[in-house]
Amino acid sequence: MKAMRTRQLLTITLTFLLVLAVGASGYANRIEFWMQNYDNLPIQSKCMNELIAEFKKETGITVDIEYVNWDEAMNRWTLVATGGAAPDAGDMYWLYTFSDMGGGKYGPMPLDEYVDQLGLDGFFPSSLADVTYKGHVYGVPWRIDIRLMAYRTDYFAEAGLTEAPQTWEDLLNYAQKLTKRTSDGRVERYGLALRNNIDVQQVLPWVWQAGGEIMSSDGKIAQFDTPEFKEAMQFVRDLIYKYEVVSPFITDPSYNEVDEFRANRAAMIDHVGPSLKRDLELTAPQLVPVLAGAPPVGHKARHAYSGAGYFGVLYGTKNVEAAVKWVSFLARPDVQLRLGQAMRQYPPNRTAAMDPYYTGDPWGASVIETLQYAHTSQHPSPAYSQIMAKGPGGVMFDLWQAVIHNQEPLEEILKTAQVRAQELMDRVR
Amino acid sequence: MTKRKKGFLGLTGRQREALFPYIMLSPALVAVLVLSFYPIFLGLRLSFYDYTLLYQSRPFIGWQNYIELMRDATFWSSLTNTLLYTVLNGVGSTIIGLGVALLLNRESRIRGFLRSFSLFPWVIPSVVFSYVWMWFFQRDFSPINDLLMRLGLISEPIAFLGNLDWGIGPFTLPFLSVLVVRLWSSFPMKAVMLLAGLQSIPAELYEAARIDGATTWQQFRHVTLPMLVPVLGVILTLTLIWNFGHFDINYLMTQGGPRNATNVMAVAVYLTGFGQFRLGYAAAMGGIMLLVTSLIAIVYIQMLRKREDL
Amino acid sequence: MLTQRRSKDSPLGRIMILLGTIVLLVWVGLPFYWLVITSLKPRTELFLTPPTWFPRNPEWGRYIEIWSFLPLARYMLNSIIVTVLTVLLSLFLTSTAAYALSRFEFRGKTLFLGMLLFTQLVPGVITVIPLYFVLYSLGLLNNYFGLVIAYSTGAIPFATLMLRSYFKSAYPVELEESALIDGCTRFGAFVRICLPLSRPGLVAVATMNSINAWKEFMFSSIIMTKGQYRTLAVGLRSMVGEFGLSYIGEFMTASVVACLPILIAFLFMQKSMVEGLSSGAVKG
Repeated sequence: MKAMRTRQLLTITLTFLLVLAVGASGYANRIEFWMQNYDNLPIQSKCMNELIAEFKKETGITVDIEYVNWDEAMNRWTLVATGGAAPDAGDMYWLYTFSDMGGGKYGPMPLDEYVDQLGLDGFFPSSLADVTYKGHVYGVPWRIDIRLMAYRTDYFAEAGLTEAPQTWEDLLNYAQKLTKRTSDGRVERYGLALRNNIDVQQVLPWVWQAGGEIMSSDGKIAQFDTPEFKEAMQFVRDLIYKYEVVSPFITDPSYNEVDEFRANRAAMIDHVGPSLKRDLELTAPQLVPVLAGAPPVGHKARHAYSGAGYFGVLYGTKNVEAAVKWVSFLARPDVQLRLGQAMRQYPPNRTAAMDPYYTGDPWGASVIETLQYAHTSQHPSPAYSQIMAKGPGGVMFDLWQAVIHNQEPLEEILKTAQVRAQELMDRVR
Repeated sequence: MTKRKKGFLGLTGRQREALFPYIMLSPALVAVLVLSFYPIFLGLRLSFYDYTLLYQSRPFIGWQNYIELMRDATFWSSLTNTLLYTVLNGVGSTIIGLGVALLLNRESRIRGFLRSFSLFPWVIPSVVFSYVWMWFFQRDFSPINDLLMRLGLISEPIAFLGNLDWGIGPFTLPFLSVLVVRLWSSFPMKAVMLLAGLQSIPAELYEAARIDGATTWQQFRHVTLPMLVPVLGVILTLTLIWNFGHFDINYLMTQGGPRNATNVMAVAVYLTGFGQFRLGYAAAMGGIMLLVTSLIAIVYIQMLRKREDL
Repeated sequence: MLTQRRSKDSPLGRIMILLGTIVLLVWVGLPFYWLVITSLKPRTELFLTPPTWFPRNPEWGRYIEIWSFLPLARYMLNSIIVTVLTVLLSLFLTSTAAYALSRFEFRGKTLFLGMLLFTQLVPGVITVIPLYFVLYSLGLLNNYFGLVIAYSTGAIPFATLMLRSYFKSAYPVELEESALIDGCTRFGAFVRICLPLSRPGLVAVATMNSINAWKEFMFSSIIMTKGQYRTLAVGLRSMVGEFGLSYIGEFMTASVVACLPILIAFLFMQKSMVEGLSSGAVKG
């Protein structure tokens, strides 16, 4: 009975909303667009307002923009993908997850019919992987999210090093040379800084570099208790405890690799985002001249973690045509360049990325160079996002914390993770 | 029932009188039913489903989520932490609040200032002060570490939120550091309520005690404390319940880490629901929380009954 | 009413009181001090080891720039609107309910009290998503009223229980009874006698509710999805970007600005709140 009444109530509400929606569709030339905030909000909104005005002049379509805080973005897009209030188009990420969540009713909408309109020819292939799922194309990538290695050239010169490290052996050698100890043996500066522990994505490149993968290519089998995974984790442990060239404090929630850099307590950072340079420009400009970037090191293979943010269209829009027009407008090389400059991002559009603004800057050049080692962060099982969930209870989080804390043997840690990951993957339906 | 159909105006004075409390109650009742009860019902109902946002089929699975919880190590450690935080912060902040209230109740030149000042933490959004405290607990830029180093008490900065080697069992340094912040933010409200309680104690009682030659401590022990018992009862019950569901500070500062050191149930619910998208499983944790808080509530209701207040 | 025991303090007691005061001042004050000096430090001075205890080159201009850096005025206006409406609505909801509970014996009274307590037992993280969808289907997202009724409902249990005991003890019930004999209606008695005579209790409850409404961020961030409706606590967090704390200085500046109005309001409200509470409301 109760359920019936609820359903009736829902039907009435939905009908009411539908009537409203039909009424609203009279405004075919208006779309709502959500975007996360990047760097400096006044600069971002100035850029976006200009683009919106130009777009309106060209097409007659009005774009209403809403800025979403990064720290509420996850909840916001989750609600969008489960039937909450949604815009017509948005600045999105984690395509696989939100697409599964939406189940073809809510969330990201495939744009296969419009794919010619989008103009995706001039984009780096690695970034296109992040807008394609199950053979469908979902939008236009606009910011490269690749992790590269950063190092201090002044410390390198001090240690007589000229080139960036290429392999794990190099990395260890370099880190040993760069680690500085006081006379009583305390470490004053670590050769290498790992990222804060809350970021569990950093585990992946180690495993990839050792030749492993965390799941089989069909997404059915977890591969945590493999020799490759173990070798990678053993290497990390050795860096911290055997060679003492990496700080053991990375599980401290207040630890931040950029802070280590700023406080002159680290010579290299592994797997850092492209925004590091901007961060230093703002908070420690004296370090910018001594900052250099390079692709991450390799072992059996050389891989860098790669993702991309993209502009997509959402289910529920009454105005697909207009939304697609807006998204494809944002794919143009000149627009991508302007977006990248205003928001301090690196555009996946080849022409934009080859602009002197990026290639003329060594750090930017390293970001683009790293693209050739890009390994997609998207995984074939929807359970991937659960495995990578942050905080205690997340499989990867618990694994990584246990590895760093160095109390349980690796076999045991990996076996537990394997069982838990497999359990989540078996639940996929 | 049939009489009521005559309409409101057709009611006799007595009937109207009988109906009056219900009318007065109805706005609050409607609000509580629609915006508290219904969402609570919807939320807890999920605990009997395998409700994972990633999948479209969300089957009914009975008590399965609860059974899974029983063998979930993360759950047990978050439950332990929650109980410890609840008791330590509930009792701790009440004791500090009492101390502060006694201090604020004294005649003193700076009382007005002290009163407002010591209550400031109450009105600051947790978003703001948790970042300030994070700064204090940081290794490199922390003024606390700087002070300790300058005084020569330590040779290397302390990782307040990272060091799991010091401490016994669940009482690790990160656990205690977060506790300090929680005490900081929660004692003022108790101080205000206890201050109000202190001020409602008739001065004659102290007068009489003084004539009997009671010392300050004896006055506190035999006049102040007994008079405060009802207020203390209310405060303790409510803070125990609120503390059990506490989310903000633990989430904003540490998200439950490192390892499980500061993980509490509300954070675990949030991470499971919003991070792993397992709403059904998260709801089951909520069900367990309801069970524990109900016990506290039952004690409270018994207490009210005893005072013939209900 | 006030107790004055100063004359009888032992030297040891005095030292303990002095010590307690100092510890309290430092413990409470240091975070505020750090908040203020960080709000003035130039970016390049934020991340120094050792940290500076006094800003070397305080950037007072930040307090002006911040208003154009983010729509702080708008956020503040939103928070003020939400807080004021929450206080008004919750006073209406709780005073009517508390009056019924304090003056009448009726069937379902215990049940209602139990219900109120029950709503406090389930943590907000469980209910926030269902509540979102309830408000969504009522068309109350991005609507001051949506957030206001959510906050007001949240305030009902505690405030109702407090007001109930206040109404019981604030003044003799005979006042109302004689008014009723004089031809006043029940509701008239509530509005004309109970409410005016209970002002201190109402002020205390209103203060608590306004503090909670001003501080809250989880419900607000989920219910108010449009920037123009964002409240202050949520708006502040927009400064903590994807990659951490580059704008932490600005964040602190905005925080000081955001905290000032409520701190000043608190200076004035604090006294009447304690008075209100002490005349009966804390009895549970």
